[in-house]
Amino acid sequence: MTYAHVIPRASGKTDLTSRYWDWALDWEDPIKSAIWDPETGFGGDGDPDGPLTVGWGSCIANGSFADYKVLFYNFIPRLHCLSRGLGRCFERPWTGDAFKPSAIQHVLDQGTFADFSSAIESGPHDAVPNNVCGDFYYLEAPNGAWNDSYPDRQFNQHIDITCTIDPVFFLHHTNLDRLWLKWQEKKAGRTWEYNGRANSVNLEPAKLDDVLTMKGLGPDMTIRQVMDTKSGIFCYTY
Amino acid sequence: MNDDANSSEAEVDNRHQADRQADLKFLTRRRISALFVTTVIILAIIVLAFLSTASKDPRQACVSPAVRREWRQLNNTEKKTYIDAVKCLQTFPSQLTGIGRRSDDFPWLHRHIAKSSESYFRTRLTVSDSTQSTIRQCSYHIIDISSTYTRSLCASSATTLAS
Repeated sequence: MTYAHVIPRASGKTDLTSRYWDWALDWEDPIKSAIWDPETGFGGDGDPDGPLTVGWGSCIANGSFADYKVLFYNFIPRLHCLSRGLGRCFERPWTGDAFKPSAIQHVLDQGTFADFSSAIESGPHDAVPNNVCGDFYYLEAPNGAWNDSYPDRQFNQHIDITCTIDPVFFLHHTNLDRLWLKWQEKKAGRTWEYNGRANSVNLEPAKLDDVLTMKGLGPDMTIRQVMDTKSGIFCYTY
Repeated sequence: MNDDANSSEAEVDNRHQADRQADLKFLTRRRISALFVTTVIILAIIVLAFLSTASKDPRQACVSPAVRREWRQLNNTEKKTYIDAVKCLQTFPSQLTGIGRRSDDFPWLHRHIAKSSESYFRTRLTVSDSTQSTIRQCSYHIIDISSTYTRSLCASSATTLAS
């Protein structure tokens, strides 16, 4: 089974193309977004009266995901309920400043891929998990550096990125992908623009031939294969 | 007479020979044309085979791209289809972890993709980190397609899942 088989099936009779959550539409009050509707969305906040579970969140009280059990948080497999704590991990209300119109414009105005990448990363990318909290929560500072002022109350200093547990993760990232495509389409030749560092350990420059490992969930791919949304393994637009 | 007879015999021989040559030429021509037709057919097969491979060339642009829509642009049935597909991931065993469900593969994979950035955090380097972003920028693409991948399996029959 290859991706080439997947795409036609996914875009066939049953429309299973990815969906996205445009948080910019909710910047004035992200907690009231339709995405959190218990029945026609992904469930809302964790039960404020329930016990704390992970990432300063608690079990989602009602709706489609109230009975949703997940395995990981951090490195430790530990079966628990899908948890959220909207605006609770920093003990201040969730404002949508990181994705207000001027903030989105700032991201799209960046001149190089590396600058675009850091602007979107430290902006809307981090703002969403850092305010949804619970399973979606990132234990990291906005600039990507670990900071002792954000201790994890449950698992003590282990840093992990298991945020994909929350199904909203995929809609969040699809929206980031949409903005990336918007940035690519702003100027000719940007489809293949890729620069910055390859990874944070060896400081090598990023190359289109760098490999993205899938650990067996699918075939490994190169960056080159994921740059263009309208050729190769992808065939989609927004 | 004899001469005449000889000459006419020789003529007949010549004629026969000419006929044979003509036959031979005809046969050769036929063989050549048969060979030609066969070659053309073989070439055509090769070209067709090449074209059909070329049509699967990953570099070829897609004709009618799928349009990804915002959550609020979906009707309630479409929303339910998506949510059901997400929940369906829990009904199959994990491919990667050995202990969880299929839905647990994504956090597991994401954690492993981000491994280099994790060691970065641990060593507490103070350099600014564009890398981790780039890794993530690309990995969401992939994780996203994987989710489409797995969701499409869920939407199809369980027998496909076994293949």
